[in-house]
Amino acid sequence: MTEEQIRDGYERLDSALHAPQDAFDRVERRIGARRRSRRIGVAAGTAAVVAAVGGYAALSMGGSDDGREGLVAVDPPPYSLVMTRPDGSTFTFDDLTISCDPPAPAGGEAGTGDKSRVYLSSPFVVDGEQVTQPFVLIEVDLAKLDEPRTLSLPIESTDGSTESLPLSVFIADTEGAPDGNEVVSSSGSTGTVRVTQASCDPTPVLELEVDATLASEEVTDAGENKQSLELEGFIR
Amino acid sequence: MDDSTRADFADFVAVQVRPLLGFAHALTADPHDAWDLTQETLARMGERWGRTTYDTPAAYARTVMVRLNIDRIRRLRRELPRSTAGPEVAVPADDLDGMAPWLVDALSTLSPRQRTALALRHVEDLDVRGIAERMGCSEGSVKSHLSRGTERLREHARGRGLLTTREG
Repeated sequence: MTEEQIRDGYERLDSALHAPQDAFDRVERRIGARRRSRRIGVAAGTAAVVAAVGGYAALSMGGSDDGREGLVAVDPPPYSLVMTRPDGSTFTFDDLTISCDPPAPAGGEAGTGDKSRVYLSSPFVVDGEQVTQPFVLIEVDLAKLDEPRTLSLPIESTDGSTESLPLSVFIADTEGAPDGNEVVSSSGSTGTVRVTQASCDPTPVLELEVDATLASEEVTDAGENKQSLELEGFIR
Repeated sequence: MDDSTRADFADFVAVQVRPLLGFAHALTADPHDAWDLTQETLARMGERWGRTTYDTPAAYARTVMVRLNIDRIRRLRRELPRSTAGPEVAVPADDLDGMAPWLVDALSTLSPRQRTALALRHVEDLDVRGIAERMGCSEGSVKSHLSRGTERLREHARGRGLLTTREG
């Protein structure tokens, strides 16, 4: 078999398929589906963690008291994670959960938990496709962050995907007409995330410090980028 | 995405969807996987269209496609919805005779990396160094994938009586 024969085969292979007539519509729907699965799938994955492990060593911290009030010397609070909007309004993320189960697509089964990634997320409360309270998701690839490391934003992959990133930070906010706002740690974002510990063996652990301004993934009806959001705090 | 950006991306999709689908077919050896991979690649491009400047978006799309296919082949199969659009999506245009259907059959027996190396060689016309850069591996690995992949193709060719023997 010659190189020419193989190349001829590839040339014919190249013309062997028709793209669907509505390819662009399908691509747009896929973009929307990815966005929805990122929101809803995370909620499914988080719920699965609670159901499957009964909260074993998964970090679940209720309440919003940051421990700074009063003068009694106590252990430092295990976490403080605050989002600040450009208008100065803030939201403190409570009841954070750390798990090693990957998010599942909308309507899909919960992740299998191959322990290759660890996820930090807040409660996911949604009405239709829009969150009714701010939601945060931090995802860490354990193979790429197996020792303390400080990452400077933006954190981007060469192929535009999130799966190959060492770390990604995502927030869905309620504010940002007409349908809220979503910001990520990729293009346009600034600041740092320092991961001091990340593990799934034997239990989910994620310790980090974040001081970042996250750029919006969305644009307004006028075509301008929606507002960036600041995220500052630590998880211990 | 504003109207202008959307229109620009729509033009890109209209021009590139066919060649990308062909490339995906060479990478996957499966019509439905080819469309899934093409759709996912274009979706990744679309998410950043207008916010990221691409020097050569068509080439970048192929890089995205290769990475998706190599690094996340198992995850991709789990994540991507199988095509539910019916037979009009990415179906064979014709009953291909001779080499092409044989090639599809042969490619399906190769590993994803072997298929990728061969597609980059014969569709993208890249040399070993270019393939290594695109695949994110060493040139030695590329040579191995090309050698073993080509040998698998030849084994199939022998079985189909398509092998050309050169004498002398």
